[in-house]
Amino acid sequence: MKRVVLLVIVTFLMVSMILPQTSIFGANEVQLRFLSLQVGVHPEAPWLEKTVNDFNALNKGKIKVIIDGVAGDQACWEKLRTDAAANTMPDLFTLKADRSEFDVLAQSDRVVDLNSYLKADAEFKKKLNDPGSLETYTYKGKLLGVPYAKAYVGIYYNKTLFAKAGINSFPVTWDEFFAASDKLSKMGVAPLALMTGENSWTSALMLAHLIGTSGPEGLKWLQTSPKDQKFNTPVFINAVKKLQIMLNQYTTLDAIGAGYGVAANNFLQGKAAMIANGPWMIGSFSDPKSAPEGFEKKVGYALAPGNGVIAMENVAYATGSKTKEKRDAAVKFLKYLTTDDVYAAYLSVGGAGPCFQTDLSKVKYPAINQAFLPLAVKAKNQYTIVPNAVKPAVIDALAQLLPGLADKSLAAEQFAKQIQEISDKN
Amino acid sequence: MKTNQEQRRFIVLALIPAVVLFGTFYILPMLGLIATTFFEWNTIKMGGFIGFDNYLKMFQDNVFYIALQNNLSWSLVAMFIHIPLALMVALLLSKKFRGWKVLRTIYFLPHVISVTAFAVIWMNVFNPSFGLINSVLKMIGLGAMCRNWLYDQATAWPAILLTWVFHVGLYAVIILGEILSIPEELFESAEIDGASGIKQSFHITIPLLRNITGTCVILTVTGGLRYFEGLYIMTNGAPNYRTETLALYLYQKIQLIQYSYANTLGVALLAFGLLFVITGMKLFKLGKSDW
Amino acid sequence: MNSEIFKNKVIKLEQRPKRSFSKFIIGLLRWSILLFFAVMTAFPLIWTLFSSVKSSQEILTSALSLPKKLHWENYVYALKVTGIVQSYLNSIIVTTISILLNAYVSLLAAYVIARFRFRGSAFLMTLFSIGILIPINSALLPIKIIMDNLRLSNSLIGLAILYTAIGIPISVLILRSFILGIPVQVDEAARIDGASLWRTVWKIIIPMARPGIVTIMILQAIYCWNEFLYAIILIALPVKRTLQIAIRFFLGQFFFDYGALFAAMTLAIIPTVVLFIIFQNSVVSSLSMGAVKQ
Repeated sequence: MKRVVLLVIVTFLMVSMILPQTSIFGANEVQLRFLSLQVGVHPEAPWLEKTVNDFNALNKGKIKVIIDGVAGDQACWEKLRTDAAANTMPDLFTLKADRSEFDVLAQSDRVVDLNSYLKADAEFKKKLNDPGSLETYTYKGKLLGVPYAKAYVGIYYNKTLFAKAGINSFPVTWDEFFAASDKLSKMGVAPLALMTGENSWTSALMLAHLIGTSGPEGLKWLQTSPKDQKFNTPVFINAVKKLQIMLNQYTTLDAIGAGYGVAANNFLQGKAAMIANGPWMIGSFSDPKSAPEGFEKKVGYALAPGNGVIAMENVAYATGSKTKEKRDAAVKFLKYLTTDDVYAAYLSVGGAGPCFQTDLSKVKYPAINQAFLPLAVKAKNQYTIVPNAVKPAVIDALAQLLPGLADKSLAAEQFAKQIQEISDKN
Repeated sequence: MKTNQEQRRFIVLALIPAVVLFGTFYILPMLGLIATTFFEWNTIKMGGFIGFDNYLKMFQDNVFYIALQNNLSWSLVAMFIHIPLALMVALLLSKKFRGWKVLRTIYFLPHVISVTAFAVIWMNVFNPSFGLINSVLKMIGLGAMCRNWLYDQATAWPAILLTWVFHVGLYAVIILGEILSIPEELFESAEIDGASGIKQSFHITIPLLRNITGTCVILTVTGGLRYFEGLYIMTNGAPNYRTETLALYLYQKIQLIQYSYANTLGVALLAFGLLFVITGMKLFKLGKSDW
Repeated sequence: MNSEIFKNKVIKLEQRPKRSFSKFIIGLLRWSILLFFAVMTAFPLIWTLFSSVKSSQEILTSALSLPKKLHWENYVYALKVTGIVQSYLNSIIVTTISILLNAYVSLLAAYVIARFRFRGSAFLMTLFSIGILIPINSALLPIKIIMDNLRLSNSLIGLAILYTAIGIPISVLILRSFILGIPVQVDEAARIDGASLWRTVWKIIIPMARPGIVTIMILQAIYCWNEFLYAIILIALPVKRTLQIAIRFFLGQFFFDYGALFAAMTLAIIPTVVLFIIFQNSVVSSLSMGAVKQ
């Protein structure tokens, strides 16, 4: 018995040691770990895989990029920040523009400043010429990432349901919006796919639209930095009052506590007529696993009432390598990402707007996006998402307090007061 | 009997692997965590010394008290409902009637399922629009009682308790293992004395199960204290912190990168749990041999 | 004499229907209780199986209904998208090493704690009890740093060692109570026969505590098989991914495929089920062995 057990242990130890050894070949090869969430069922996964394979083939024997895939935004972020704290940063990673992530990483001082590489390569510098994008990823004079995707977020709506309710075009003012919601609701369809679970994503987007289109005060509110943010203001309270009406009357029963999956599914199944979301959702309209056949033809994409759109920097690619050798190799990969073909392929999949000069003729945007982008670029009110204007703890608190707001046990003023307390405490 | 020296050598050598592993992966991180509670640590890098500020903050934090209260009710339900149910199931199974092995397998199997699946199922049972409970209520004409069980402030926490209290399989099987290792002779002699099945259970089996039942109580209470994954998926503490527990609150604070405050909550969790464990050990006279 | 026999018979006949009736009631009660708990516990498993052949839309729209159409392609996706075969193998390696190591290490410690009084024995027991209280997820960062320094990160053996350590408190606690249930006289008898303590553990305690050992092995196996947080943080190379990392490939924030997720989960459950059924038989056979030895 003892021998058998020992034998089994030894055999397994040997097997496990032999099996996954990777660096048997090419001792001079620089290996780069690319921490990415674009794996599995993520629509950008095939793009990433192809890009990395092509790059590895081009640099055979010199550089090898290995994808360290962690699916899910939250799990990936958890790994990234643990790596940052343990000083084992990945050589390549996705740097999100969300303040909750960007600020933390920027302050950690573990992300490589790309300015010296820009200085050394005039062509690279010329390419990254969008000052707005560059500024987003600059912290204390250091450029921390190559800006890569910019998203315009409006409101998707189900044209078939709108027509059935006798609404001919997407509402342009909030009064029209609520009138239309009333018609849809009388028809037995929930007007909006909202959610209060997870990070309250679609509800928070509606809140941003409500605040951003309420006038100059609203635009200013969304530009305020999280630590100076005030919630006891008419701007915020008025928007919350409207959100309360939406949550109370104009959404599905299961919106309270719902995650993104539930909210999206309500829209995809025609149970809700509108959803606020970004271009990454377009793929699911034509995906047979998520939506009924032909659904993509029913969907329209509109600016928020009040001529508003969320214009947000989305992601950049960055490096955290510690040695010069690895840094150089990582920057080489970053430059490869900015080549026209690679970038066009990316924009075609994700539907994002470009962050630097590129040959847009190669980009094949989905039809829905094609129509929406020109409108979005010209929208009168452009603003960012709520999570960029408040502390992360406030976003967490939304999930706690929105159910009360929805069933009216909490008034908008009380809601604002409680949020203010949470913001002060954290 | 050999000399004491051999015995001493055995004790030391036999304990070394466990103590080394435990020391490296439990004691060391734990000491580190306790130490960090006295520092400011709200970014990736640790800040300066702040004394007992985190503890003061904790004692003024309303959510902390809600979490504590929830942990307490969870532990009591585990002690006084969950484990007695497990004990009952184990005793019934131990009669070895036809089909007991199949049932034992069934009881244990669901524990191989990940917490994610569990959480998703229960969310659907409680779902306000098509969930099992509301559908049944509507079917029997009690539609007025329908509600969003997991997100109604009044029902949220009881609903959470309901998600695990009847899943007694694991502990039933552990206790069953102990019942089956009781020497047959004891029952034989009892049968000669004419004791019936139920009497046997109460006079012979249950007293002999003191140790394992106590262990199970400690396991379920501590397991409950550490549990957060399912809660995180189901409600994440909502609505209005009704379903917050210490472990979940701690996890949320880690997500917000308030590391040292999270660790302070961890210390509170430890203290709370220790109280329960020590009481449990005293109550069940754990560690005393039955022989 | 004859009449007495007759009398006894009459009495027995009179008692019989009453007895069997109460027996029937007790049996019914027993079965309904046991079946209630069986349904409660089996439901999630059956639901997972059903969901694995439903489409993502169906799971979200009517989670509790039966599948309308069998979507076997979920399994194809599960196998194709994640490289599940490699991760399967990795999980088997980690789990096997870890359950064996954990069982042996914990058994020795539990035996010492259960049988000997020495300076610090109570303290040690309290320490282990504290161990089961630690929310191990809060120790993510320190453990990552310790693993990095011991060069155990990004290694399956490292992961197995970590899991072994994490399982120690629970294993010791359970095994100790099983060992306390074994009469001291049994190992004293062995010692008088001249066996060393190591031999006593191997020849007497292991066979007699087998139900306990199997229990902790199963618990440890389930833990190792389902653990994902440490696996995600500590493993970076795709070839060393464990099963749970692979399964999560179907579960993103904005992108998910619940059908394939449950198919992958079902694939992950199968070996645990098989393992449990095999082990279960070994528990039963060990019981008769123990009886013979006594």
